[in-house]
Amino acid sequence: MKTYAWIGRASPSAKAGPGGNRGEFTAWDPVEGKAVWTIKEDLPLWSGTMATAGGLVFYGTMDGWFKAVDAKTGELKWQFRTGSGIIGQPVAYRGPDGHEYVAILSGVGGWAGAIVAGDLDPRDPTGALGMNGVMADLKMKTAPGGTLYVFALPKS
Amino acid sequence: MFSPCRNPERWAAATRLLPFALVTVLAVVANNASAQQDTAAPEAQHGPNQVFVTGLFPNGGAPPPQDPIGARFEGNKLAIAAGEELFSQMNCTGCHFNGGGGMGPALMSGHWRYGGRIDQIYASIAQGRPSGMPSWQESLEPQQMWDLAAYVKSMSVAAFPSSSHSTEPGTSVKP
Repeated sequence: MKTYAWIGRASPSAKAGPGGNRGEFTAWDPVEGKAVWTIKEDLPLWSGTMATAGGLVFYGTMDGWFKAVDAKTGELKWQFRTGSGIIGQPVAYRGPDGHEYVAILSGVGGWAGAIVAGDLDPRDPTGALGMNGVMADLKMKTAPGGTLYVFALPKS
Repeated sequence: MFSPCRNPERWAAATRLLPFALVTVLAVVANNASAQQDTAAPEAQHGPNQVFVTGLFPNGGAPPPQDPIGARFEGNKLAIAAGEELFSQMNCTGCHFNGGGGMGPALMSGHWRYGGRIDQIYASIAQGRPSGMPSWQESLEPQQMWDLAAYVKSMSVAAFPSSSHSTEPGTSVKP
């Protein structure tokens, strides 16, 4: 019979901070060093963000919403439900036809999305270093995916 | 040593409680009796034979019968307790946590990549599996791997319901 070192029971835990929302999207004024506006999001924001010359800011949520908000005020201008949670980076580009396009990858993952991407069990809140306990509802809110969405801006 | 209460009211109350006390004693005896069965810890010097990790068999064949050795460990409380201790000691929790998974897959979800029979779990522990699961047959005895397999098997419960959308994907909603 061999003997082994005692490493200990893994029981990490985590929870949402004050307010109960697990994420927020904030526009910072770097000159003044303060927040201009903040959007509280239920789920952690794992996506990148993109500001366009047209005065819009794009980001995505872990339950699949791709959103465009007013860059000055944070007011929601448009949103689209993609097939899976968004952790990708929005991209804008000028197509060969000269028009502007906005692209986003939809497919949940990352530490906070591991419960869906890795099919983890939400009944063990210590799973994924305690992130299972924070994200126990994500399986009810999105599904695994991997889809590139490209949106064309209205041709005027 | 038994000295009756001097207070007659108390003595009467104690007498009324006597049947309950007897029932308690009987229950304790019964518990000991069932615990006796579990003091017979299963033993094994080798792993299972002919473990398969797929449901596909040539010519529509049937899966090989399970090695009877596994049945001795499955559901055995002592084996499960020993396996639970090993599960922490060998840092299985580092990837699988307490069954919910993390870097490694969940073990309690009822979804099995390489089979959920106790001999299949044994094989996964002994042989290791691609993308992270190490082989333990060089560092653990068969007895220990059976204990671990019994514990992992005991974690497994009915699958969690799959996802549902409140809004169908592919829909644009005006704010």
